[in-house]
Amino acid sequence: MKTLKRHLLAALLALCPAFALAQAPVLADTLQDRAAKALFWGDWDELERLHGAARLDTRRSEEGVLPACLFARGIGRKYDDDSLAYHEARVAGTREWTQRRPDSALAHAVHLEMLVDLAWFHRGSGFANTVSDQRFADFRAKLDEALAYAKANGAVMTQHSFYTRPLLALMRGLGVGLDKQLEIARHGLRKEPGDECVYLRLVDSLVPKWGGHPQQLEAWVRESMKGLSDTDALARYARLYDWAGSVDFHQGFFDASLVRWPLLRDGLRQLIKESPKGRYWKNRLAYYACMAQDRDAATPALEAIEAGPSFDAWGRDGQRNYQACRRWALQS
Amino acid sequence: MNVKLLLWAGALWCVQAVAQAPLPSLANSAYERAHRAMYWADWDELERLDAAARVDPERARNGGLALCQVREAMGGGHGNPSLAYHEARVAGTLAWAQRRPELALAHAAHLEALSGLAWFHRGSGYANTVSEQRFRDFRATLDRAQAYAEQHAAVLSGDGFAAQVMAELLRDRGASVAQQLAAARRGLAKEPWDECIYRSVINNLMPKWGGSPQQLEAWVREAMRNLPEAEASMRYVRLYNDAVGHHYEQSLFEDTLVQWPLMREGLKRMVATHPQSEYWRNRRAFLACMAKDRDTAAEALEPIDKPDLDAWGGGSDGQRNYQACRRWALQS
Amino acid sequence: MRWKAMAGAGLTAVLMTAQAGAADKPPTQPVGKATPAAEPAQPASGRRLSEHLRDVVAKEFKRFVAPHFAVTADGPLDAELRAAAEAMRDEHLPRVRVLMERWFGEELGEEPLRDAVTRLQARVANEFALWGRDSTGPAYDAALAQALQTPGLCNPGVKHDISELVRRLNYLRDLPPDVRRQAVQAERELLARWGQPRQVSDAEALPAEDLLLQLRASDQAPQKAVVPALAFYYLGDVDDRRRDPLRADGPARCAMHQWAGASAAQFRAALALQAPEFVIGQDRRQAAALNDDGYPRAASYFAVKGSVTVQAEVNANGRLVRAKVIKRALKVPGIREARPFTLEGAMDVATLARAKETDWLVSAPAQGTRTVEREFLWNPR
Repeated sequence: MKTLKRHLLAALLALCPAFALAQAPVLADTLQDRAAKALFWGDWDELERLHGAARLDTRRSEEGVLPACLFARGIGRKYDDDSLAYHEARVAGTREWTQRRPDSALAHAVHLEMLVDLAWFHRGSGFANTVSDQRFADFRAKLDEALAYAKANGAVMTQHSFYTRPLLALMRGLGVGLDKQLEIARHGLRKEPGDECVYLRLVDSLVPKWGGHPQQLEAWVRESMKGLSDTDALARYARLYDWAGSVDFHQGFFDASLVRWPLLRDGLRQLIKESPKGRYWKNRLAYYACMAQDRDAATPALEAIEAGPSFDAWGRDGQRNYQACRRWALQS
Repeated sequence: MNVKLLLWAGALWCVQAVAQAPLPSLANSAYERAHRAMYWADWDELERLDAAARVDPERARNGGLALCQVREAMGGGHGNPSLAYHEARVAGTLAWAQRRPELALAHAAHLEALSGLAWFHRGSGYANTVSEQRFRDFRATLDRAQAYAEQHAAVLSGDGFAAQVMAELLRDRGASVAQQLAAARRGLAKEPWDECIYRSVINNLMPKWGGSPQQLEAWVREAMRNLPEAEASMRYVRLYNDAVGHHYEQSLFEDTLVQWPLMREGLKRMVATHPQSEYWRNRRAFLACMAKDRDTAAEALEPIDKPDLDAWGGGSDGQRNYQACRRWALQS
Repeated sequence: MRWKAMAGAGLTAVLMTAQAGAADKPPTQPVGKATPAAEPAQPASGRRLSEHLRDVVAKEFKRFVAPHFAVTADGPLDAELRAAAEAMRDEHLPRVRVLMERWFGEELGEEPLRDAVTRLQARVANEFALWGRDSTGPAYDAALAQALQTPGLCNPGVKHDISELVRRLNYLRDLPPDVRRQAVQAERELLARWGQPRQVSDAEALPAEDLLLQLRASDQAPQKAVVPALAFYYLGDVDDRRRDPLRADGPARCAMHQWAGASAAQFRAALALQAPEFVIGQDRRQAAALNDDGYPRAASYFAVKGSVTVQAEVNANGRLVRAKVIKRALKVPGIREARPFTLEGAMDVATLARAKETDWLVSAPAQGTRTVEREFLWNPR
């Protein structure tokens, strides 16, 4: 009996941390905002803390996103009124951070991201013919600076996979080929196998506006699904293709890519099951169902969001897309 | 002294001062007034403004004609328009046209409102951001506009505003450039002085609408015929400047047949003719940087303390264009 | 200030009702042994407050004091600091309530009666300002100085609007454990000093706002990196999107003064709460703006009077090149036995604005510049 009690106590003690973690507020639900704020206020120590926490607490947010991805999104937050002074302050501040913490992989990777962002600030996000030669010159100069920095600090920076984000953005800006970018992504995955955020990051490079082909995107999606259970694989399929759809394909998704509607539909349903409180996937299911002209899927999906659609999930001109979809789906 | 007498003398002096004061130029207020009239369905006011603008050749501070301002306002949205707003415009202009069946302006306004509604459905994004359902709504509304135009062809024929609207409608329905230009010329046949028609058709000649640099050049030259040298020079500038914003942006000098020396002379005239125009002062610098004419750019930048961002591409892009141009032009 | 007049009228009505009520009620005798009241003790001096008047104090307490000690689970403090904050709050708020009742009792004995609430507000506000400037000594100063070297000191977390108590403890979060513990204890001691006459630092804050504006005007990169938030708010590309540093809230002001290299005392001086901020919801710029009668709003509300002396550098054209405040002699009804730190910010801004509009020709030198002093009087009509 004593032995049993001891065993029970040992089991309880072993389960305690897991239990405590399960009861703690989900980090992922506030992480993006906290990371964005920490960067905004130059709170590098807080960024280190948040990044460390995100690597330990892998519970997904209410919308089903991993903490590590949300951390990166927080770093990448954009503001309407950003200015040259703002970007330069970010570069200067993160540089000081790397000097204070030369061993911090995160510090170097975030500094790299700030350099790349500054380059893009010079260029702007418009089509190439809206960018003056002078601005292109500033853009390229900053990208070159970023590249030199990446080369000089690669050994430290690549200790964990966050670096893949700024490095891939840099490669895209420099017009480096997809093979090299794939190599970078796979290098990141070797350090952290199965890191979903890395799989998502490379999707940006595989869409047509960055020179990608539908076959390359399909191959990457399939690669990311290897080794996963059926349900996880379906969810992964939906996540990656959804990201591609929002980044570039938009309404031409089913014509211009190799995405298969039945798989996407089932994957979205799986994501809704995993994140029942989330609103994004429910809206996305309706959005894609209309795009795929699948009235049977669109109608119940629209009913599920009737109380309050999230227009952010409906692409550019979200409200109009939603209204047009409704009109079409509900007509007999 | 008699206070009453003093008061009367003061009042008389005021009346005389007001009578002698120059009347505010119609062109400087036409856009606002027409926009408000449209917003409040004040059709009589629109008719008054149109009639006044037709006989008032005085240009606004920025060199625009009152008539063009009125027409632009009739085509503009109001903030973030909704479906209800566009439908109200369509219904209101239809009621106007029914009340004044002999008035070409009313019918043209209704056509313009239908065009606005069609574009509301489609949105202004690239085609791959527009759902099938929204494209259907877009095309259906354009068909409605076409049917209306055919039904009222007689009253519309030869009216300048109607010619503009018809050319746009033909463009949106995929008619050839030749057909679009024919519609525009029908208006010009009756009103050869109508600069607004020449300017509005520039958008139709952009590559995104199937136009070519040669067609653009030919149209610009056609628009300059029979004008005195100074006016012709400024019209050259106006029309090619419009092409920048419609499509060519920073690639104007590479991708069209525009000649920088002609633009440079024309811009000098614009600044001299409209000395109060911050826009043209800034635009001269902007275009000089685009043409990589450092001497002209430096000279044009010199009197500019605070840039007119509209002239530099608007918003934060405008700020960046200005800063990059300054850095380049003023470097030794 | 319409609502100040209304509050005054309301107070008078309450007082008259209370007096009438007191006259009608028969005196009561305790039945048995008096039980100590669970509510805060009666004021030690000044007028004994009736229930109505205690309600008045309770309203002021709830509106202006309690929010500055709010501690929420979604704030930036870690568990240890949050627990300390909650303990401090629970200990301090009853203390403040008692103090406020005592002070109000004292103000009810002063004229004009209708301004008693405003005088109470001024006194409470000044207590906040004294708290802001106070220090337990070199160890505490050293801890704050160390914290000032930490990047991200001013990050308010996701919830931008954090209380004064949370803000102060948040500064300590990255200190070494021992130093942090001592600093937290020091914070507790500083709260315990409320209501006691004490000498606090009279350090002047650095002109960080001016330095930021100079940086903006220079269009140069700063020698010391600014926090991205400051660049975003104050150094933007477009004029009409750039904010006014004098309207900065707590986190931005913190970042500004940290960037400017403030010492611990200078930092505390800069961050000490100003009365207009939390009584009438106005930043220093707004508080210094003039009413129709030409008097600064905050000064008018609190009936501030006295003088502020400016040291001005004047050029040969009689133009003001530079000006700074070098002396203040201000009296604020309700603030006794202490310098009215809580209103000096707004009065400085108003005085410097007046200095800017003043014609300095009589002081102009033949050439170069000349430094002169001028006293500006502030007397409400």
